[in-house]
Amino acid sequence: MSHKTSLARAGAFAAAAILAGIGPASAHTVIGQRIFPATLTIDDPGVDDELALPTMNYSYGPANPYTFPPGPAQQSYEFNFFYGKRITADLEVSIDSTFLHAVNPRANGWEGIETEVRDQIMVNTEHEFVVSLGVSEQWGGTGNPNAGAPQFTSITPEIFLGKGFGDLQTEWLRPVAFTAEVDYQVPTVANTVTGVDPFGNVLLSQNPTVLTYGATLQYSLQYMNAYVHEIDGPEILRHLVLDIEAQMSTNVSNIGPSMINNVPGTHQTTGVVGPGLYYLAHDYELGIYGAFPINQASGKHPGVYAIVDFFLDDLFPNTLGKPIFGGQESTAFDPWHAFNR
Amino acid sequence: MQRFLKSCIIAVLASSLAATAALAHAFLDHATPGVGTTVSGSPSELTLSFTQGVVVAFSSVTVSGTGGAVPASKPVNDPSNQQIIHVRLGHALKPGSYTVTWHVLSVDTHRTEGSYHFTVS
Repeated sequence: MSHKTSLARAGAFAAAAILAGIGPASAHTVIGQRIFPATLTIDDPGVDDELALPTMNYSYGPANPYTFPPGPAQQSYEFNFFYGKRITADLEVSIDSTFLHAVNPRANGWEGIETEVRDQIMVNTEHEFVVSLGVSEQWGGTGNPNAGAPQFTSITPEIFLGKGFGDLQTEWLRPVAFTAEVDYQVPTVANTVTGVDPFGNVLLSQNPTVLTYGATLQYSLQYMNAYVHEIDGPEILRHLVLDIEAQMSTNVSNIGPSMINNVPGTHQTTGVVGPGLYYLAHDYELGIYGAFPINQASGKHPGVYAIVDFFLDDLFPNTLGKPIFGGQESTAFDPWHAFNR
Repeated sequence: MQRFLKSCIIAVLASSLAATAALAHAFLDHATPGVGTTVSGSPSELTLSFTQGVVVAFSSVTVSGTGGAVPASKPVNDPSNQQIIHVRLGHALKPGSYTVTWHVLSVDTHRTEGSYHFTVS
């Protein structure tokens, strides 16, 4: 494979990874009466001991920009493997990596290793409220460049928010919950050498900073059954959470020029929106999400994400599933108690 | 790739099946009188069924209505199922709305809590 072809493939898969919009799976979160499930487009807002084996993602990208005229759309299958461990009741470290299989162009390989440190900085159980801050690092040189793995490290500050509405008086609104995540990815290398032109000039590719933001609006039948009104009917209904999820990515700075036929252009916002369905069993979760691209640059057809997530704090409560230091109860700042004294 | 996909699917199914027998947080699955329901006549006791076994020594259930707290016994486990607890009421409930508040310790040491309403017509 020529160097140019290799770079084209790397670029194609980097674009595909952005379009896929999938972050690493993370822990479900329990705040008071509320279970925030591990969602598929953004992470849930808290910390826990969790193992996701795997989070799967099928996406159908835009037409291949690296041929002229643009060739068949890229189809990619991703399998993300995630392990999260609580150090204290509010502090979690995690590691994950994603295996990519793609066609048009074809590739198989790991996309590199990502680690994260996350801390719950605000928790109120009565109002089902949580805010967390995190920093993740995508480690350069730990994956296959042909699968889009960057050869430079990126650092991403993150903020997460979760709010359940079980404290409302209106009964039909009490199963509703909202979660959100905003990330800002900063590459540690501003430019990457991509080759040399026939005149001997070094060709550079700019590595932009990327703002990624998303939200979910959830309706929990599990919450409805346990706290509002019992659900008659099949047992499975008592375990479901339905939601609408969206996630977008926008390049912010150090943006290179958009090239003709290059889809997505470097200045285009890409993302997906769609419905999700999650089944909360005693100690694991199954989920599926229909990803509808928000524009042509985000994909040619809808994609599908799925997750199988194990709750280690429930499976191994006295060993792997508990914080290394301290108890199970959060000691994070409680804004309600602080301001209502 | 097909072999890889098959391996993934088999692994996922196998581990899913293996996981169903393990432990979890105790959340309310159903109750008698039912969550949010209206019953005709006073119940003599409350029955709460959780998604996991409950340690009654470290659990509590209180009932309150418009007239204040209702006397009730300490929760006891159902002899045949540790996930079910019973609470006997101290006297008959007058017609009205009642709130049940529970705090339980699950057998895997997780604490959970919740509340719900029911109505006596």
